[in-house]
Amino acid sequence: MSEYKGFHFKRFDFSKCLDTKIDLIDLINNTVGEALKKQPEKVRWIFDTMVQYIDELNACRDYPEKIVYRHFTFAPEMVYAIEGISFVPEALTFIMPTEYLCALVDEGRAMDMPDHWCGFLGGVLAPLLAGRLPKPKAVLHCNQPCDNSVAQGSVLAESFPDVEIFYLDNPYTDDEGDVQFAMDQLREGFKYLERMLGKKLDLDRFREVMSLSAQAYRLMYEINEYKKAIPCPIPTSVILRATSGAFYGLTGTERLLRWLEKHRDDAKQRYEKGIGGWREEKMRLVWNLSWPVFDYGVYDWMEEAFGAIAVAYHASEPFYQPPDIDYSKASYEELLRALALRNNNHAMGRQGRGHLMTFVNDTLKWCKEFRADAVVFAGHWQCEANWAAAQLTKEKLMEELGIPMLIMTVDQLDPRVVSAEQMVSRLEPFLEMVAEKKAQGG
Amino acid sequence: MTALQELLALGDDNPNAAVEQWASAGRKVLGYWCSYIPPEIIYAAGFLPYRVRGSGARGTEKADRDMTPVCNCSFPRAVLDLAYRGQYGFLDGIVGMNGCDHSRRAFELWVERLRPPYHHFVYVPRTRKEVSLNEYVRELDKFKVSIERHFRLTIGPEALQGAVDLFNDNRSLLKKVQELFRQDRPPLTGTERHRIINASVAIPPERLNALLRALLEELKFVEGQRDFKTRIMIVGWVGDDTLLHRMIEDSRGLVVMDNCCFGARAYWNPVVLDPGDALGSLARSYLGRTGCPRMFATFDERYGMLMQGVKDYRVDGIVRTRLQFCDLHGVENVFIHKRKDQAGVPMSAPIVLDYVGQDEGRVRTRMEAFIEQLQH
Repeated sequence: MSEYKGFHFKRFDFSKCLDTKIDLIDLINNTVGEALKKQPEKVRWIFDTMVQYIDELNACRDYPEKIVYRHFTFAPEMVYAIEGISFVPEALTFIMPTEYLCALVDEGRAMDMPDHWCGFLGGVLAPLLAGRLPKPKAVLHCNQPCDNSVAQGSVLAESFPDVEIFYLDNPYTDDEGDVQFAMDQLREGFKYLERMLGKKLDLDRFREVMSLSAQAYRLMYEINEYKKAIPCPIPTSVILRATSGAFYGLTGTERLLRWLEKHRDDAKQRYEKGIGGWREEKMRLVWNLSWPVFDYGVYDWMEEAFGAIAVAYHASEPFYQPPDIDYSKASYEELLRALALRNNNHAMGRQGRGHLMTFVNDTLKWCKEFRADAVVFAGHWQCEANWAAAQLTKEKLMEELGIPMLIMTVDQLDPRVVSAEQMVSRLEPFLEMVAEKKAQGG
Repeated sequence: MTALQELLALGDDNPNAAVEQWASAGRKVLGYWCSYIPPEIIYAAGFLPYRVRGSGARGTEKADRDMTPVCNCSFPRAVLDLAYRGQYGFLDGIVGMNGCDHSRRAFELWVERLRPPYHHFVYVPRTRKEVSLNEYVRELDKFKVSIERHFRLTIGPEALQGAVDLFNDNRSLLKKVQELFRQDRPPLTGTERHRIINASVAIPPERLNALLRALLEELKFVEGQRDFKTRIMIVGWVGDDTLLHRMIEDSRGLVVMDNCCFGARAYWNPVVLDPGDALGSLARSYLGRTGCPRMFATFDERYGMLMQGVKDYRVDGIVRTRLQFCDLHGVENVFIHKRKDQAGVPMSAPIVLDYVGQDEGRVRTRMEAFIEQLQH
C-alpha cells in the first residue's frame, strides 16, 4: 500500500513479466472469483452482479454454441431473449487484476495499437487478434459511445473473419424517425441471431426478458429516489458501482432483479433510519465519466477526508423509461420499441452517440435531482466526445446552478496513466474549495 | 499564371480568391466538415460547397479551451480555432456529420459557440445494411429540405443531376492527374498533387474542371521529376496540411500515391447516377465507396486499394501515419502491421503527427531515416 497523508492506496508491481497468454477466464476465476467467495456473508450480496458475470464467463465454456459477443453498450436483453450467453470481451478488463490488464495493454501496443487507447478496449485487442478468447457464434456490436467502439468493431471483424457480425448504427437523435430506425435494425438483428444460433426467437421469452428489464429499471428509479435524500442512504463506494456493472450486463435477468430488491431494501432501511453510507456526508458530488477501477480507495479517501459522497455516476444513471405496457401480452413491435428505447438510452451510449448538449443537460439534471454541491469530471483520457463537452458543461453548471466542476484526466483501468495518488492531489484542492464554499453558506 | 500556379494558390489559401469572387457576386457559401456530406446537394442549391480545413492555423489555443489537447485531435481543433478567430466568417452556414468523434464535437461546438446563420447535421450510418442505406437517403432528403426551407428555394432534380455530373467530372479529372504518377518521372510532386486536392474542395466545380483540363494539357510539356530516390505511398493521413508530403519530398522521396481522406479516396469512386433517384444514387455511392475507417469492417477494401496502388504506382515504401488521438486510423495501423509480410514493400512504423506541425523535427528525422533505409 502507498500512503498519502496517512491514507493508504493500492500498490502495483509492474516489474514482473506476466504471461499474457494464459486463459483469462481461468485467471479471473482464480483471482477475483476466489476473492469474492471470501467476502463476509453480510456484504456478499453486494458483489453478486460480479459473480453473475463470472458465472456467464464460465458458461461460455460449457455452451460454446450459445456464445454471443456483445458490445458493452448493446442492450443485453436481446441476447437473453434468444437464450444465448452474453459475452462482453471488454468487460474482462474491468475485473482482471490490474497488472494483467497493463500487460495486455502493452501487448496491444506492441501490435501498433495507438498508445492513447484506453485500457478498457485496448486491453482486449491482443487477446482478440491472437485468438485467445472463446469464438463467438454471433456478434452484436454498435458504434456508441465512441470511435474506439467503431475501431473495436473492425478488430472483431479482423479477429473472426468467418463469423458474420451484426453492427447496429446507433442513431444521433431521439426523434421518432430515429427510434424507428433503431427498431428496424433490431428486427434485422433478431433475424441475424436466429440464423447464427439456429433457433427461433420465442416471443414469450422476449416478453419475459423485457418485463424483467422494465422491472429492473423501475427498481432503479425507486432506489434513485432514496439517493436524493440527505444524507444519501447508500454506501456509495461499493453499491453504486455494482449497479453500474449490473445495468451494462445483466438487465433482463431474474437474478439482477433479486439483487436490486436487496439493494432497494437496504437503501430503504437506511433511509427510514435517517442514516447515510459508511461515513458522514458533508458534501454531495456528481461523478462524471470514469472512475478508478484499479483503486476504489480514492472514494474512501474522499469520504474520509472531506465527507464527499458521490451520489450520482455518469456511467450508471438510468434514462430508459420502460413503456407502460402489459409485457405479458405485448406485441413483437411493442417489445422492439422498448428494446430500441433501452438501447438508445444506454448509460454512456446516450451521451456519446448524441449531441454534446445531451451530455451537458444530463449533468445538469443529475445535479438538480441529487442536490449536488459539485461535479468531478474524471475524463477517461480517450473519451474524446465527452472531453469536448467538458468545458461547456462546466460553464453551464456555474451559470445555471452555481456549481463548480473539476476537470481532470484519468484512465479507468491503468494506474500508469494517472495513479490514485495523482487523482487525490487534483481532488484535494478542489474539495477544499467546495468545503470552504459550503462553510460560507454557498 | 499557369493552371498549376493558379490551382496551387487556390489550394493554399483559406479562404481563396475563387471564394471571394463567388461571394462578391452575392452568392452563398456553405461550409461542410467531411467527405460523407455530398457537396452535390449544396451546389444544386446554387451555393458553393466549401470543405472546412485547418490551413492557415498557427496554433489551436482558442479551440483548446473547448477541445482539450489531452485527447482531442489537432485537425478539428485547428479548424475550430480558425472558426473561433473569425476566419470562417465568410460562410453562410455550416454542415456537420458524425465522421469521427472529434470532428462531430468540433461542429457542435462551432454551432453552440458561434451560432452560425444556418447549420445542419447529416447523420451518416456506418454500415451498408439496407435499413441504414434507407436512413442515409432520409438524412440526405432532410438536408435538402433544410436548405430549401432556410434559404427559401427549391432544389430540383435537374439541378441535382447536373451537380452529380459536374462533380463526377471533377473526380475523373483528378484521377487523370493521379494517373500521371504512374510515369517514371511524374510531372508533379506529391506535395503539388495534395495542394490541388485542397483546391478541389474549395472552389466552384466548373472552375476546377476548367483548371484541371488546362493543367493536364500543360503537364504534357513539363519535364518530369528527377530529384527523388524512392516512390512513396502515404496511408492514414487525414488533414489537408502538406507538411508530411514536404518532409518526405525534402528527403528525396516522391509521394506517388496515398490512401487518405484528403487524397485519392476523395475522388476514386464516382457517383453512379440513377436519373430518377438522385438522392438514392448519392447515398449508395457515398456509403458504398472505398471510404473512411469510420465505416464498420471495411479495412479489406482500403487494403485492396492500397495493394493495387503499390502495384500500379510502383511504390517502394509505405509511410504509415495517423494524427495523434485518431482511433480509426490508429486501428488500421494494427491491421496493416499484421499484413506487413504480404505487402511486398517496406513500411514505416506508425508516424504519429499533430496537425499544426509542432512535431516537425522529430518526424522529419524519422522520415529521413525511413527513406534512407529504402535506398539500401
